Amino acid sequence: MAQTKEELFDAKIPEGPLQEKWDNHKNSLKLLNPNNKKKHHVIVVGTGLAGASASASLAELGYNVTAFCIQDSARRAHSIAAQGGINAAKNYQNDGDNIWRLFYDTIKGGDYRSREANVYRLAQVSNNIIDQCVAQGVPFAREYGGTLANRSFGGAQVSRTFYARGQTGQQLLLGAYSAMMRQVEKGKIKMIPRQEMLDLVMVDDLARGIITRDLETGEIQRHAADAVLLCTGGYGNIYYLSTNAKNTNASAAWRCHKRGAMFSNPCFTQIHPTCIPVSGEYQSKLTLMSESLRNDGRVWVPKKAGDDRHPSDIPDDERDYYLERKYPSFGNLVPRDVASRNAKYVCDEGRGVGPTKMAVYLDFRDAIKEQGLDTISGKYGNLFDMYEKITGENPYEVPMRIYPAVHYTMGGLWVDYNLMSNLPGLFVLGEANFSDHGANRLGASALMQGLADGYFVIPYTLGDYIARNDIKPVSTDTPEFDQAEKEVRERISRLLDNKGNKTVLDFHRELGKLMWDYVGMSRNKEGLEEVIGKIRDLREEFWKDVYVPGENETFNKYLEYAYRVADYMELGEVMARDALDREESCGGHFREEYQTEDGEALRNDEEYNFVSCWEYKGEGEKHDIHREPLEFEYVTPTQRSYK
Amino acid sequence: MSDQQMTIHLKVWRQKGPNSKGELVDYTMDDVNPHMSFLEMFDWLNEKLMKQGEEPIEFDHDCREGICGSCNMMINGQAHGPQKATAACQLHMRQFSDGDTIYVEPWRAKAFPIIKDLVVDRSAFDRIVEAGGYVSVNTGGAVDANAQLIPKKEADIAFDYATCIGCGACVAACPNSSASLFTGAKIAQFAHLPQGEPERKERARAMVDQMKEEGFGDCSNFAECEAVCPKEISITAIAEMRREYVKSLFD
Amino acid sequence: MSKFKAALQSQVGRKLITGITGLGLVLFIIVHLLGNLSYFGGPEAINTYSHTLHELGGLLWAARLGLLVFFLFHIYLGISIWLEKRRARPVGYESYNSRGVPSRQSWSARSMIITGVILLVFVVFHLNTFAFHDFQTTVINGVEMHDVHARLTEVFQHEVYTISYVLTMVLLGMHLRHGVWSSFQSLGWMSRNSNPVVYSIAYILGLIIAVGFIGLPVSIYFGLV
Ligand SMILES: Cc1cc2nc3c(=O)[nH]c(=O)nc-3n(C[C@H](O)[C@H](O)[C@H](O)COP(=O)(O)OP(=O)(O)OC[C@H]3O[C@@H](n4cnc5c(N)ncnc54)[C@H](O)[C@@H]3O)c2cc1C
Ligand code: SF4
Ligand code: FES
Repeated sequence: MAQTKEELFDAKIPEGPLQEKWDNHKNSLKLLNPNNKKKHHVIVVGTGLAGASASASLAELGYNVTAFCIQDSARRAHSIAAQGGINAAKNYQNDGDNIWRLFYDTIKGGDYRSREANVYRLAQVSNNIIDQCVAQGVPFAREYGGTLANRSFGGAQVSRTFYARGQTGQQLLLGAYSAMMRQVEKGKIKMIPRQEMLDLVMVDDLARGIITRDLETGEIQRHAADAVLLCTGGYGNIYYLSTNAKNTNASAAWRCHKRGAMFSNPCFTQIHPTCIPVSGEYQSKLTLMSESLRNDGRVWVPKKAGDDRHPSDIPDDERDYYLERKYPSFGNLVPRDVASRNAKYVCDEGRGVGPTKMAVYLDFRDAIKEQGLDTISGKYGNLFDMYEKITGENPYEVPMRIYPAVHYTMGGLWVDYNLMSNLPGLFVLGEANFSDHGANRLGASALMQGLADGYFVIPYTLGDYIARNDIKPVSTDTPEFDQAEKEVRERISRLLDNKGNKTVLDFHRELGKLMWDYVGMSRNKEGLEEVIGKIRDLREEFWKDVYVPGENETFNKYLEYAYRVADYMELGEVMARDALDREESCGGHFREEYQTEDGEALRNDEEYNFVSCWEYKGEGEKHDIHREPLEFEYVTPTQRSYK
Repeated sequence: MSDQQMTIHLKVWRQKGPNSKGELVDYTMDDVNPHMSFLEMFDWLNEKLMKQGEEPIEFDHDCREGICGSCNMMINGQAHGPQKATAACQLHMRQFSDGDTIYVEPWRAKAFPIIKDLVVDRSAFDRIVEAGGYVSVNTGGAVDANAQLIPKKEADIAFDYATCIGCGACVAACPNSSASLFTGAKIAQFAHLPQGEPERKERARAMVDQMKEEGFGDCSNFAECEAVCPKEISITAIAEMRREYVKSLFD
Repeated sequence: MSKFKAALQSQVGRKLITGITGLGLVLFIIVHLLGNLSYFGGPEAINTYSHTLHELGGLLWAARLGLLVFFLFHIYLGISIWLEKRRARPVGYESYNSRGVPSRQSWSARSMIITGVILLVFVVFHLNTFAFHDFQTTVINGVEMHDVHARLTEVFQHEVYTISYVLTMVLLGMHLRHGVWSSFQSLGWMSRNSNPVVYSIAYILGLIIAVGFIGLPVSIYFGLV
């Protein structure tokens, strides 16, 4: 089933007006009769919102699902950590929201680097998600009258975010997880936790299986199916420090990429402005503080560089409330990327605060004065407690210290409108794909996308694929499986036999620093060219000098860590290349050479209105880039301004 | 807040595999920063061990912000350590003093067999949920989310129970190794929601039976679980579970 | 019916029965205590009380039987729960500490099996001393009856008996301190608000019962009555 390049990037966007595309498409999809579904077997890798919702929904339809995750239980996937909420165009608040608005905000928020049709569908199904979750018993916040509550989030002008205290991701995931467990009980899902996918197996050019490692025993296993769904999350951990859970990784996606799947927009990463800053070299991850804090907190640094006074000893006229100064109309509420970048600038000027000088103040002094302590603690009490638990400082008395941190990756494996990658039979859902957020993701829309993909898109599109291709069972006893397993074993042995002098963490930290410094909040040509070489050197050093303890045949977290970092060493280079190739600034991708006079991101819609698709060309070879052009029929790209 | 480095003596349970014999092994760390988290101290220790060619200590962790429920350490005889409402990953070294000796052991229960060092198998919890910790609705066809009003008070109570992170501290700290708080929390969550109503009886029975099946002990009302629960779930959950169970007997 | 049988064997059912039987026994203990206290009303009061009880005949036997059944179930379940707990954690901790409030893991809670077994042994001796013992008789208002008063007065002259009785009653108080509260929780009657209240009431009740029972032998021994 060899494809031409054109076919490869056919996004398969359905015909018809934007509003009717999804319905038209559903009507044209081939159906698989229920008895037939029972004969088909699907592998789902990952049990986050995307994977859990897909597994449950497919099993309910009759498919036999085998699901895998790294953690000891499906319920612990990284989605559990999402705090803020999930968007939907319900318009329960009667504030003028509708599907179009949600669509428009999302595509604009993504700085016009995503597909209209995909984003519109996302907005369309958003309402079904809320209905579904409530039916599962997800305890969303409610008003006294018993209706669902909403809040405005991430600078949106309408109140469309549904939430469950600061634990929305947890409640949504537990809903999807419980739906999954119901199917486990029915025997329709085989759930295999602590089992990591290490390779994709292609048979006759179709994705037909995976190679996994049992994380308890080290056993290498083969699993075959009629389709493989990759729901393995994002790759923000490449930066070493991020808000992502420690096990989050790029490996599954990267393995598929090396088997031919295109990696799209890898340089689009989101840096969240309000995280608790690094406190020392031992730091292992960063904790997000909800964005809502910026509604009342004022961001500032001292005017003088190197001002070491206690914050309360610095008088107002020696403070620089730089966001309010530079963006008088939005002030502290500028979008994530703008807030993050400006924090970096003031710290680069030597005006950062705290022991590491890599932080800015988020001060509630005035808010407490104006609204009273009780009001502020009512709004943010749990966040203040969390801050105190981590830093040992009381934010009611001393301003919080915050700094941006990597939070989300918009890039991912390329998929068409059906969520299928360019490898037939390999579907990619959730954060692992590139599809809906363009160059920047709006708050509360990742949960929406993960669940949209799993509950409401894949159940339709998977059946179509199977029905059209007449997929027959395949055995794991084929040369393709042999070969893939052999490669996996070799890679593991190579790591274990190396016995170098530096730990995996040493390397990861170094790589993270390179990525953060050169492919982070602000990028430039020179730096990117330089860092590509540096990453290559580090990769070479990694394979020479890494030390991986223990053996394969046991629980060995540092071995897992090693093969994940090994993949980051390759992905990092492609991220840098992508950032270098994209000679414009958009969303989370800020190229210093391309900014307006005011220092804002300057898009280049003439030349860069595309999705980049990187093709793997072999070990040590340079990647090839392909471009899927984006067309805007219904919205007109505009330049953002927050002055 | 002092930034002085501390010396900490650790006694850590080391066990090579499920069937090996384990023992407490002594480690001394003389450069513990009070701002380190407890797990970061372990990362730090592991780096040192590996650089000396020794095997690192295995422990479960993921989110490191108290929500995934992966981390599980018995710290000085207390599940998740001495700080209230705190999972081990959120515990910081400033809670300890220079020169302290800290015991670190895995969760211990027959239903949570040890895999290696501090890592245990908690799949018994999944099986309890599998027995009935869900609402039987298929994807699609749900009514509008606002079609059914739920009083805020009930929704809030349900939420309090729903916050369980499935860490297993309740079992670990319980002198009887009972899983009643975990199970009760799920049953009680659904007991307060109209969505839970149709399967209320079957759920209570099936989940309670599964607890026993998995080899957890009976609950003797020590309430130690509530004291160690990182989400401070009240033992009222257990009372509710018992009520639900008894009610389930009468059709 | 098999549903109920299964229920009785479930972890909820077992505690439920432990709770119900426990509360039943507490009721008995309270009645017993009131009876004891009638000693302070002089020989006539306590002897008449005891005689009236015996006059109940069949009813008394039914009550005794019920009590025995409660007692046996309570013991059986207590021991079985203890065995189950040992099975549920074959390897213990090297270091174990309670986290403190809201934990109810008091010394009395942890020692239920010990206090329980001692109470069982005590009950056997106690029955032997009083119930199965040949009483002298006395005549009150023309009715011949057992002289319980005399027997009590005689028994509590003995140092060993008095001391062990007093100690056992301290243990009984402890057993009840956890047991009473625990029964309510086992019956599913507790809520977040009633928890601390009932816990305190149980504490006071345990104390009153212990003090009440101790009052009599101590008074007799020291010749206060
Ligand atoms: C701190 C934080 C707060 C957030 N808050 C919000 C918010 O308020 N609103 C919002 O919309 N979004 C939020 N996000 C983003 C959102 O949580 C994620 O984008 C989303 O949950 C990703 O879901 P997923 O299903 O794609 O993947 P994940 O939830 O990341 O799941 C990945 C799954 O894949 C498994 N896996 C990975 N690799 C392998 C492998 N090789 N083999 C087997 N299994 C594998 C993992 O075990 C896991 O089960 C937040 C993110 C963070 C970090
Ligand atoms: S009830 Fe509390 S202690 Fe038990 S598993 Fe849930 S969160 Fe952990
Ligand atoms: S690591 Fe997630 S709760 Fe501790």
